[in-house]
Amino acid sequence: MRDRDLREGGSRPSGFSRRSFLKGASVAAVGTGLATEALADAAPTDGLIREDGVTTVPKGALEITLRVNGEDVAVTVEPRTTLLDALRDRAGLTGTKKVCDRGACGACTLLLDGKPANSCLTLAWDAVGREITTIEGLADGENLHPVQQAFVECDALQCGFCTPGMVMSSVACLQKHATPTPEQIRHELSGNICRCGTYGRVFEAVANAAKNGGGR
Amino acid sequence: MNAFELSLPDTLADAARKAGPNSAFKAAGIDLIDRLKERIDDPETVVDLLRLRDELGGIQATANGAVRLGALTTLQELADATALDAPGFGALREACGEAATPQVRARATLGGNLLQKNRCWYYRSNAFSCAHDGSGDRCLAWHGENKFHALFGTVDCVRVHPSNAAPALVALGAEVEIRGADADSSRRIPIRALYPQSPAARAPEHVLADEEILVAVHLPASAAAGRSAYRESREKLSFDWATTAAAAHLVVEGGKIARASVCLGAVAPNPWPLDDVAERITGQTPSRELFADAARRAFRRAQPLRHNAYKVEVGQAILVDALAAAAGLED
Amino acid sequence: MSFRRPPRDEHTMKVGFVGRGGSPGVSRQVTVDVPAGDLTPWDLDTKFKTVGGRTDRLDAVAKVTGRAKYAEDMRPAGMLYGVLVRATIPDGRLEGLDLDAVRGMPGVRAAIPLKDLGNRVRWVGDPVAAIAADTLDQAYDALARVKAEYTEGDAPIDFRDHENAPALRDGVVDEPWPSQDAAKIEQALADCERTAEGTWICEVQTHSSLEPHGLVAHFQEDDSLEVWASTQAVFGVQSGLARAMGLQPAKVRVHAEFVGGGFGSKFGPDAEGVAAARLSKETGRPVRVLLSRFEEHTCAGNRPSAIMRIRAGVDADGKITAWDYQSWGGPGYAGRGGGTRGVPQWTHAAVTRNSQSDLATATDAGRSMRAPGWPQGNFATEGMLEALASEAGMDSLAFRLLNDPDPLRQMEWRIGAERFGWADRVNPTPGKPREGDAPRILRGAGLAAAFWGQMGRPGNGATCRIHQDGTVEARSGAQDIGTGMKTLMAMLTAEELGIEVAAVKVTMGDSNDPVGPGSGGSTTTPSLAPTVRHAAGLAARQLCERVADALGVAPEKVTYRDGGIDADGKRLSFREACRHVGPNPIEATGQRQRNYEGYAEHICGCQFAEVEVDTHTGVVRVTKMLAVQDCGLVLNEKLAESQVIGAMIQGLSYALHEQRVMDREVGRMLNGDFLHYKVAGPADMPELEAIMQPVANGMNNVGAAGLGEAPAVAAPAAIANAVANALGVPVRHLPITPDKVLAALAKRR
Repeated sequence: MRDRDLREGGSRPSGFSRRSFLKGASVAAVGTGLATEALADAAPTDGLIREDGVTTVPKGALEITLRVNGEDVAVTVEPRTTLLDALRDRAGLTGTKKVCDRGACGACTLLLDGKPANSCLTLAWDAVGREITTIEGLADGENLHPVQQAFVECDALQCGFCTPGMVMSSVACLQKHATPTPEQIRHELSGNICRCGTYGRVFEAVANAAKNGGGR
Repeated sequence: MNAFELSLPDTLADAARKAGPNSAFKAAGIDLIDRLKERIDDPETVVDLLRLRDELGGIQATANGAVRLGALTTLQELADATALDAPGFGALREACGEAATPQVRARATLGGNLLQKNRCWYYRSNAFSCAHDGSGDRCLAWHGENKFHALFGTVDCVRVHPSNAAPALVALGAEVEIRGADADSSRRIPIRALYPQSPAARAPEHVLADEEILVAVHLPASAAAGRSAYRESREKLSFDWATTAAAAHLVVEGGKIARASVCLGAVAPNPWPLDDVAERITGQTPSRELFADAARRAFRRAQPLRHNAYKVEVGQAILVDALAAAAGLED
Repeated sequence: MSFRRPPRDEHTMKVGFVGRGGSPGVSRQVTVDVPAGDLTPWDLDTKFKTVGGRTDRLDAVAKVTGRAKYAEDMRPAGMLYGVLVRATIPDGRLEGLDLDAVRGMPGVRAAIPLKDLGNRVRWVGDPVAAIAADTLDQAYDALARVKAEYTEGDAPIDFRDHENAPALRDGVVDEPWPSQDAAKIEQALADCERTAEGTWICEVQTHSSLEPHGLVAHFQEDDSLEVWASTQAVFGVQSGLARAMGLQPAKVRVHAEFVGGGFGSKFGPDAEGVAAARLSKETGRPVRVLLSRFEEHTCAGNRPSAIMRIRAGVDADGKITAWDYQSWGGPGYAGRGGGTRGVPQWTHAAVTRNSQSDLATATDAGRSMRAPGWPQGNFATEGMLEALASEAGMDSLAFRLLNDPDPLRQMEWRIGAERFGWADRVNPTPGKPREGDAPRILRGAGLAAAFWGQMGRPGNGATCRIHQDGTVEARSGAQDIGTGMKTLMAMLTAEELGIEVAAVKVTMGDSNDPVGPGSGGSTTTPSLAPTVRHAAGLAARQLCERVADALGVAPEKVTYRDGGIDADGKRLSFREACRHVGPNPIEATGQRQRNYEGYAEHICGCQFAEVEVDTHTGVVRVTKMLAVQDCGLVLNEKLAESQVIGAMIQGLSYALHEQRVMDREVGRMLNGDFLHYKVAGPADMPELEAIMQPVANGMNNVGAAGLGEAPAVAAPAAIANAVANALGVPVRHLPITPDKVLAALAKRR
């Protein structure tokens, strides 16, 4: 007979009481100032709770402003909403992909203040006041970023689902190493999984992009 | 994730005041968010520390050679830190530079890395009972799937401590600076003391009280001397957990080992210092044979489980590699 | 002009392949039975302008910019997020289900049962109910509150615990061979000069497509259903949903313009798709149900585990004369589909016996996965070839050349061995370090054969439209799951019409367009390519007719040639001709005719791998892999190479890393994520090369064959053989993880 140690109902008692949604006023946070500074100016009607020295974002949804690809984007999020879900489900920016949702595959990679980040392991609130660059913000109109161009030319993709994250990690790689060695390319891309098996092509693409100013 | 409220304190003091049994501190959140998503933790309040860079950030080298690492320093910053250029600090830089993925290293903080929870797949699933978190009275991994579990120091739970940085910092004799409920209660303890003496199932994974905050890690000036190295073995080279890891710090003078410090990772519920190995090789001429003999002795006390006996052999190899690298021996 | 006029039933064409690298080619005239109305088949002498080139992937820009919209990205206005309540026990019956508690929760719009009380629960993950809410978090909040009760059965979790599973001792089947047909095979084995025997084991691999299974369903007010699905079978989803929802198929429209991988696991709507449709019907809102990563690993199929036992022998010359193969598969609760097999050509001259049993367990059912059953069977088969070569005292390559009856693969072995440097890379003293290596490092090389059928099928359509501005459309309702089918359609159309690829706009993945195949068994390209070409040829003929009408020339004096039209002595470029099309575009629908009796029923291929093993840690690194692969006419060399290299990488991952780890008591997967389910990543990559070998196969008007599966058959076997060559002892249990390597080395010592 099998073990009966499974928890009843399959999950633990939670014991929280959900508050109803709060449709607060916009909590604007622009520029590069940290959220607390931005929040300090917010009116008390914004849904935030101010007590001495601590600003508390209550459970439930509030509107925040994210700086995405150089533009302010208003999204309504709960404290628990990840940056990934905020972008995909609230801002309609679905280029950034959700695959493992645990920081292990790199499909959700974007740049946060210029550095690569797993948006699935980042709270949307933690991105307030920071510069977010997603795959949608890489090309200059119809002019592809050199990394994107190299991906096209080297056929560094098949189904394409890992591609946005792979491109973002490649951009981050070139920002760190303008002319990376093969080992550096592998190391800097090692947080990204491709199931179709395009890694070899991706390495070629990053090396080619480096030659074409991808690390600009 | 269950819903929580997010507290954004202005200062450390405010953060400490906000803490309690139903709250969790968050830095980058790499480990916490994962646990929240699995619904194995459900704090009422998440207290954010990430914005307290003034108090928790920065790397400062002092005149005497000691280095203070703010708890919010990222693993990537540590891997790249010029303040850690001395070969004595090599183990820390290597450990941080190999940890997880570039994306994680860019955000994960030193404090978060040291205080992260174990990665036992029974503990991390909210479907299984677990002796460690109190949802069950026995460890399912002990007689279940335990390929990546502990060899040493187990009482009634076979979890392993997953931190890369911790064994390196233990080998370097680091101390951690902890701030209590008020500024007066700050204390500095050896990093070994950050982890409980007897890592029983119900023991927490670190000794910090609810309101205590890990503020910084201090590397003593003595750590800069000599050379240290970190080595780990894992099944995949791309993002994977170490099956075993070893950090070694050696000071070699006149062809003899003058000072040694060694610690294993991923083999016990805590970082696993090997003081007897250090003692045995001190005063000796470094050689692979010496290290292999010491490693053999060290692993004699291993208590392998059904599926992890291979870690005994791997662990010895990795330990020898770390020692050899710290001694400057070529392959 | 390639349209055949007048239609004939017989056509003589040159098939085979051109010799290469000093190896002879094969070329012969065959007379094939070409159905009336088909185009003149391309053959070995055909000169191409576009086909065979290295055209960039057509949808690459959409993919690298994030503009490509997958099912996972669809967010129609008012969309709800659906999740499935799944069984928490592996075997038993559902005795209680309380959904009332969740119906009043914030954001929850619907909660519906999917399984009746008293019904069987077959694995941890069996769908029990479905919930739709305004946000995904709210849906999960509700999921955590559902109470379900079960009575428990005791079906086994591990196929090795099945009552009919063979007893294993030290990893070797430890029981008598079955007695049926014994006399003949026993005699053949007894007659062998040398024999070998072994047992091979494979663990469960999950498809791990990056885009999860599922779809977004929208029931419209007129009771029609529109869905955006992640699928490798647009029409399979259409018919599956129609059946499940009691609708006419015509009422179900399926979109799948971009699909994030499938690998054999995405052929129908599955439980999640039906749940989305039902939730949408219930709420009147679009509902998406796309699986979580844990569900992907545990509820969306897998490559089953297997135990394989082979006894075989060779004659005095080293030729295989006896082959006795038995296999046990662990296909999960479905209880079938666990069959395995290796490349069959090795036994062409042998007395053979094959037997296969499936061992059901209370786990997620296996599904077809890239060459279902073959990577497992070929791992065992190629392992046995190594054992026989060793018995016969022959080099691995020489043994293959002696026993391989196929002239195409004979050439491929030679091309590959030369390019790979086989003679220098194979370890002449297995188990001993190569010169120049550290003493702890063992290096070795291995090889393995690839194989697959041609498998293109009739019953598909494709349309070609020609507009008056000179642009052309090629349309198929089938999907491009990443193989590059859209690009191939553009190239084929451009080739047939003699125009630039850029002038062709391709649309795929809409069930309103002509029927195309599900992408399984490497059939998409060989099924669609001749159809697409046919459509273009028919459209060209219509263009001739319109030009004839417009110019008042007799139709038989107008012919299509080299991207333009000859009309009674007057030459019109394609664009000039198109001006006569008028406001109504030309539309032609091509048909996929049945296969001709061509040159070969199968495709070949072979792969080479080099590994280095750290004998202290047991870690295996693949350092170099090379494939030589044919697939009929190579339509786009760059994309073909990509697909072959992809199969090699997947094979590497399967050979060294991937394994579903189950708790054997509870039947719940312990590594149902990408944290502990190990998919090979960038740092694990060897140097990779694929050499495409074109073949004129005479199977259809293009000569296209499939490519997805064959290279997947070879890769794990080649790596396992390389490990054996390095260690001097084989590891006959995938994945070849450090614990197994160290155990093998300990055994050798």
